[in-house]
Amino acid sequence: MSRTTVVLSGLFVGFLALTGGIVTAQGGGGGGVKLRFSVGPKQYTITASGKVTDKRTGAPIADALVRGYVALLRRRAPVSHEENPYQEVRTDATGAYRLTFVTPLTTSGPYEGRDGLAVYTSAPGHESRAAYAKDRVTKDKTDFPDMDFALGPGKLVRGRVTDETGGPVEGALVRVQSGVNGDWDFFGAWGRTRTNVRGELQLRLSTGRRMAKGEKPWLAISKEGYGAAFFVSILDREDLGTVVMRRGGTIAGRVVVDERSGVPNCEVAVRGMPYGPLCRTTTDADGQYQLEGIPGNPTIREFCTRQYGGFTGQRGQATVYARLDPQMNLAWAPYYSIMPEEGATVRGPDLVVGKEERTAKAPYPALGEEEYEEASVSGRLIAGRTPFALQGLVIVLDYNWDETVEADGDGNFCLPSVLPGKHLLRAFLPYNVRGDRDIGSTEIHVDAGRDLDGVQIQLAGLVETRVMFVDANGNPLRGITAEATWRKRDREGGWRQGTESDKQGRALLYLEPGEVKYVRGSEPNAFSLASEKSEKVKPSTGEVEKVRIVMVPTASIRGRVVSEAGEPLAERGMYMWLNYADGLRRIARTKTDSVGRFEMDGLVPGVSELTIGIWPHNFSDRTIGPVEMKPGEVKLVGDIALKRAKSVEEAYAEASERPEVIVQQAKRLLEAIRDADYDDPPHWHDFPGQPYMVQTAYPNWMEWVCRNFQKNPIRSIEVGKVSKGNGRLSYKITFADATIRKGRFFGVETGLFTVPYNLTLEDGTVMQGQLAFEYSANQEHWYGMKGLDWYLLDPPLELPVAAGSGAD
Amino acid sequence: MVDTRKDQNPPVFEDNLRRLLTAAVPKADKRFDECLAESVSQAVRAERQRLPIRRLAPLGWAAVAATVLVLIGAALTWHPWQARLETAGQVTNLYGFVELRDGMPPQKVTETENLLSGHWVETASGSGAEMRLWDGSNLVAPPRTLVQVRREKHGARVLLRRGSLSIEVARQPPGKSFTVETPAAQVQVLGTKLDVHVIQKPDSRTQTRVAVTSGRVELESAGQRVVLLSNMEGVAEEEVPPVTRSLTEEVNEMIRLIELNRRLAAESGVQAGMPAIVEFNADATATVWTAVPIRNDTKAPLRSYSLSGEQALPEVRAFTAQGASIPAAIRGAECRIDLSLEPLRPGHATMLIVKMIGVEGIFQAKGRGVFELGSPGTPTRVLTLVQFRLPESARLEEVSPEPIETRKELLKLLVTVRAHSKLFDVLGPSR
Repeated sequence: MSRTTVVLSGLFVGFLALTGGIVTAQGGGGGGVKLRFSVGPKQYTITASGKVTDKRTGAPIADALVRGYVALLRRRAPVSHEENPYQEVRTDATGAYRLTFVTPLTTSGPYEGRDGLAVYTSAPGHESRAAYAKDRVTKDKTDFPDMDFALGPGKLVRGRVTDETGGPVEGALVRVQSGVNGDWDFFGAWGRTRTNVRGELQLRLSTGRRMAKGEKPWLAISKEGYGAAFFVSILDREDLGTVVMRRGGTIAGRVVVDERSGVPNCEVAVRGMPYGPLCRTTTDADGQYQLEGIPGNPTIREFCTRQYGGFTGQRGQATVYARLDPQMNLAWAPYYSIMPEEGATVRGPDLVVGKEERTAKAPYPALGEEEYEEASVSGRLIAGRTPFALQGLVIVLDYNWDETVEADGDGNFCLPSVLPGKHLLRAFLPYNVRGDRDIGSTEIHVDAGRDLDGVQIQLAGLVETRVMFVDANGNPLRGITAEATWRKRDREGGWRQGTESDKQGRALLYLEPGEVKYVRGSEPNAFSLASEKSEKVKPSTGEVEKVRIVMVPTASIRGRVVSEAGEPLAERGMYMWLNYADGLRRIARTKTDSVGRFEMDGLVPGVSELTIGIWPHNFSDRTIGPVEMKPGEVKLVGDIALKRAKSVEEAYAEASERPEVIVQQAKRLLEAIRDADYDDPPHWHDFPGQPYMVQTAYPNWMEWVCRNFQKNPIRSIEVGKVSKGNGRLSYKITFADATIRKGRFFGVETGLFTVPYNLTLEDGTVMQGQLAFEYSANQEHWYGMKGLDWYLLDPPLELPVAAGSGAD
Repeated sequence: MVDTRKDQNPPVFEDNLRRLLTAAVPKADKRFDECLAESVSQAVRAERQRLPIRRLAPLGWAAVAATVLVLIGAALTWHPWQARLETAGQVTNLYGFVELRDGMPPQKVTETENLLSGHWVETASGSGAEMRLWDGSNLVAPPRTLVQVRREKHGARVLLRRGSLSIEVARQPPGKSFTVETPAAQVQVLGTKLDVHVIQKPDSRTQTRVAVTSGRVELESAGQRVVLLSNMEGVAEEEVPPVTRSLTEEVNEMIRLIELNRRLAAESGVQAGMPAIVEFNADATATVWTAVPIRNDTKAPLRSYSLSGEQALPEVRAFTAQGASIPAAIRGAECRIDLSLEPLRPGHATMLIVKMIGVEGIFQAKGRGVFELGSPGTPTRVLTLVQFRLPESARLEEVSPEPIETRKELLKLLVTVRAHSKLFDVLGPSR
């Protein structure tokens, strides 16, 4: 055997480390290589363009000021507006303008795809107007042409701002605010100017519908380091007269790190309603800061009294934030609120910046804060060996999709306010987070008011799966999104999304190694192509999986639904379950026309049984087929005659006479649970084979059933007599050691048929309870509801492991 | 001369016969003659195939006529005349609509069915069939595939007219081979796993793609033949000789970079180094692809090759210069690469492409999402191309030397630089 010792030298420091010596990189001189990159959110180029014309003459307005910003929902209050991407341009001789923004977008989490775009225009002698893009700004919608403005003369208002001695206040920023958009008016959507050397201001207010819809607009006038003043009732008259800008108050305070040592060079910012962001400063060597010219009382009190007819003391407070990292969202920064006294100095409490610069408090204190004192939770994602960046991965608190944060480029994250108690932190890939599985999770315990640092979430090392999309002839297809689901039978439900295929038909998916997944493709916005077959993959670590998916044109079905007497069932809601030969299940909905005809498009081609039903359910569902729907085919199924069905009332009347129907159904359901394949939770969709409706999430119930009955199987089932329920479903669990646990499940309606049951488990544990039943007219059967929701018990119920059950 | 002996598997045979006859006879009112003629000629064709060509020729039409006569007699008297059609396999699994065309009107296969030599199997949309052949090979046909299996003297002959097949070929006895024929190409297989796809290109030419999972396959088109090993794909078009590539894109990229590296070095009159691909992982480790030149200075074929580092090597995968995957096993500080599938002949040299997974220390996290890689390097008269594969959203803050290529694909940013430095000091080969 031949042997080569590869000593790696010269180029790669890392390789040297392999052979024992660790060398520090020293820059890119000589023949070496130097690479430095940062991982941040993906940047998109957003463009907005249009024309500004005179409303009366239609003539283009040249040199009009056009300002715009992209409202990024990933950056929520309170800094969103100042930190949103903002651009200013002037129109050319033809009145045309074009704004270009390069920015990340909200591409994950609950606000995904909901970013907005606002454009404001103003020109001398014309009103200021605002327009909001009709479509959301998304990764697929980045160009906004034809945002045109026709500016009218507007309503002219003028006024003068003086100081307390009567001298003019020059260069004060004047903005029209109306309260319609909260702080959105920060940019001066409805008008913005500065006072001239004589302290005079002149503005043309838009009199458009939007403006009138708001509260009474006012002018907010502020001058950094000096103070603020307000004109109210500005629509009532043209000459607003004179307003006195009082010298604001001073807020002093200190930023500390551990309640003792001051933090130098820390940014401190102040903002507040109704004047918006005002000024910022940095702390001195001792951590001390002083913010001057902050509006307070009496100006604020006067404004509130005139504008809102009263002053509560809450409104108009200044909020002071401290942050070491100027990039940090203020929502996470420590803050306090205070009411300054004009002409005086107030001292705020110490602002504590944390070890990780992340000891944040809730920006808006929750009700009963003393009782539920929140704490911040921060930590880091521990990456698996996967070729992607941690930046943008989504961390979700428990199952609450409104409590999500994104990890930064180093994998750090911080949830600013978490209630005390036990929580689950879950990490998700940035796409399609809701239907997906997490790729790492950890349990945490938060103590009231005690910030939790250093939480680590270990992520799975995912395998890169490359999907090749081809058409029916085998040629590459572009624009198909790769998806994978872990559900075997119907391949519906939870799924992971990958990228869209490129010109060569290639797309990427990241999948867990060692787990079976079913890969398919979808065309998100057009239902003209479908995967004819899902491909099963079981990726293994260190490999790159390759999958080929054939996409074929979708099929259509046309037919007519009639009663048994042949009368068309016209103008009825109609649904069709498709039960494909390969296990795929789909449901399609439509409406029949005036003669009972229907057409369903966008169906996955293949061989399928079709179950047709109509709404309301006074006719039974009917199954036909299997039929073959060829790619692109319009399948004609002719007349489908439906039988008149038993109504819910008739079913109840029948069951009152023959309660054994219910007993039988209860037995069947419990036996199905006993006999289920607990090793195969992917069967979740229709396990246990008998219908049962849970209180919350079916998969969670399934998981509990599989986990617990696997380790302690059901030995015997007893079902008692049917009675009309009183809306209470109680349970009693007698463990083998004679300890008892009892309580009640979430309420059900009164009057439902209810059956008591006894389950005896392998170790002798007896689970007693009651199970309620409801009738489904369209499916023509009784289904159990609640009464078996053991997964919801708090504290959680875990059954003991029965000896010899084979479970660990 | 017709042997009416029953098949080795009487119940299946009887079942099959009953099915065939019930399918043929009740419908026979209208088209009995036509069906019968079809069946008979089908039987004759099968008989001709079964007989060695040399024997058939002298027997000629006399034999065929005799067969026809006897078969007609057999069919009319409910004799099991199908015994002449050799069983080529069985449909072991199916979903949806699968049709069997055996010369009579196509019939839906509804349950486990015997497949006779010469039968065509067609899968409808959203349908699939799995077939086990008499030699133990397994075929999986996805939707809209049309395939015929023929049991021939030299082994199985599979005609794939349309669609795809995943094939697991049983080890063939000496003198036998497994052949797949497509409209454009012929594939010879000797105990392996492969996928064959027939593609109708937009210019209406037919293309055959053969992807090999394990073993060895020969692909022939336009009279030329290429060998495909595990992890290779061959593409054949009508009247065009086949081309091969790796199923691993990075290996193809390495092959391209090696060539580019060579060309650029020649243009600048310097020595060409071995290019590398360095991919960034979420855990700040790197996956490194590089090429290792090897030479056999011994007098015997080189069947294995060993790479070693002074410390334990990370996980390693190895590929041939053609892109085939070859076994690589780590033992301590040594990685042994198995060349036995294609041993290197004495006096020959080649190149191995090596993938190292999870190499630490290449990228240094500098905080705030910034990563750095750098080495002082001493300028040499060696030109080495290095391709970095970074997350697509990576912003390059500093790259030197200036990149010669930058492109984005599959969520990655690919940046190629030309370094005037050597990546490897290869000490050896040694014994």
